[in-house]
Amino acid sequence: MNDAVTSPLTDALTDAFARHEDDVPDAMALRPAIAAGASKRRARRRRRWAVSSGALVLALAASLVFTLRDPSPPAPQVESLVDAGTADVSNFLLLGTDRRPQSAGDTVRADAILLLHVDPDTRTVYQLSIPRDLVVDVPNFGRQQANNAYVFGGYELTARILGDLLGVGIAGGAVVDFNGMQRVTDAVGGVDLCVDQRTVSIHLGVDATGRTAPLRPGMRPVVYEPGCRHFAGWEALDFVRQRQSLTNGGDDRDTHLRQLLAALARKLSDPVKLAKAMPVAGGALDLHLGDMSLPTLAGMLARYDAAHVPGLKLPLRADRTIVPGGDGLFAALRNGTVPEWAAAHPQFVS
Amino acid sequence: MTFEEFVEARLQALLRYAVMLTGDPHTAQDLVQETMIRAQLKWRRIAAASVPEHYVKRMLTNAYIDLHRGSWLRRVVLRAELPSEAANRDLVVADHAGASADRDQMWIWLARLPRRQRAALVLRYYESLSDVEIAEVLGCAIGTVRSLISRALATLRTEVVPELIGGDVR
Repeated sequence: MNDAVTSPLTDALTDAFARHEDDVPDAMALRPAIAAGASKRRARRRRRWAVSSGALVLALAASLVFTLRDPSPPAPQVESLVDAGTADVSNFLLLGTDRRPQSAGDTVRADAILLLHVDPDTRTVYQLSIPRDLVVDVPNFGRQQANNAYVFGGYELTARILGDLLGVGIAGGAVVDFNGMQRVTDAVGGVDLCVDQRTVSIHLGVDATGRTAPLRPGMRPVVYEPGCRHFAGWEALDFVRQRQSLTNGGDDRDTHLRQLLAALARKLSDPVKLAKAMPVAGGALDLHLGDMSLPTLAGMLARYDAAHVPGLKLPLRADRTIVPGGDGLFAALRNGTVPEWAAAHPQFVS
Repeated sequence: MTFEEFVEARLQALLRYAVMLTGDPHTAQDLVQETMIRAQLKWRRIAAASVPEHYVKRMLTNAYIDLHRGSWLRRVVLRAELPSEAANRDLVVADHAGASADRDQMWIWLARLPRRQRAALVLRYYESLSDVEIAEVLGCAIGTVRSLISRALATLRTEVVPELIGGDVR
């Protein structure tokens, strides 16, 4: 008998399956568990890889370069907005993702999250780090770590969630991956960084012949000793990715990232280096500028100070939730009084 | 297609498939949940497949086939197998009069089939897939698909059918 032809037996089979369709529960009930399970497992995997977002820092730097030194003339209407200190155009979001060539098949998180706040009065750009493990509410997926918001909804969702959380409008932003950050850093000839604490790489090691290679058992890990020196792109990126060997883990890494971005911004204030970096940065950054064009933004930011790019930390309680109102920071972001806030809260400034 | 779009479009169908495979809604939910968590973690690879749904179905089917090995989902007992052999025998004996009363003998016998055979039956007679597609989901040759199905049907024919369909097995 040909199996493809129906018979009383196969009819009975089909009937049996059809009858049991009534047993099938509603799949909607599974969705929260799937989301929660995936993020839990990602956390496990993340611990294993200790993937970090050096890319974030790089992204910030790259975007600063763009914005600070683009030769395009400023658009008049934006100038007036900036001069007025309008909240709508004073906050930008930089996301550094952990996408690397060898992990093309894996979920991408935004492990480095920076809010760039521009203060028109002092012509200063502030970098506010959002901790990757800050708990946020993701619509439909419940309470999640901030870095997972990117998994569920990419840049747009992350920007919306953080905008709501901080109570500020986010005018636009950029996403950069690890590789892109390294290319930008290399394009400007590396950066000068000061290592504040001994940092042991969990990604790179030195093999028996003295060559640097991905860390495997039996190899001596690369160590970044305290002190100031020049870093090539690969070293800088590896340095800012590390968080496990640091006293305060992710928070200290965020400090390193802000350092790298500030260093990158200084480098990019050199027009020759900027010219070299621009084509690279164009390919490395995924820009989300909404209604704004890049030249407009660049023109807007061209007058800002690239030599002084202060970093800010989010005021957190011991349980990693934000102090209500951010201890006045949120209001300062809205009202354009961040310099005053920073002066009054030096413990959150780096 | 994003993972969210896939969930939106296909989760219910996958759950139906899992119920037919396992014979039990609870096991099916666990199976689908575990599979979808794994799928979400490797979504880029899946989205790159020619038919993402087949890829996920294959993950789900493998998970089902691996259930008895206890390699994962250890806490899960395949509930379709819970009735003891003796109880099943009683059912078969007791019910040959009222055919409609226990057409679910078919369900009991499906639960006794080797899992790959059952998966092949579900894919053919519930999901209505072709041999080629079934081979893709099961990760085997087309000839294997045909032999799985014909062996499963042969078993059902000798064991179940006399009561179900009045002995007309040809």
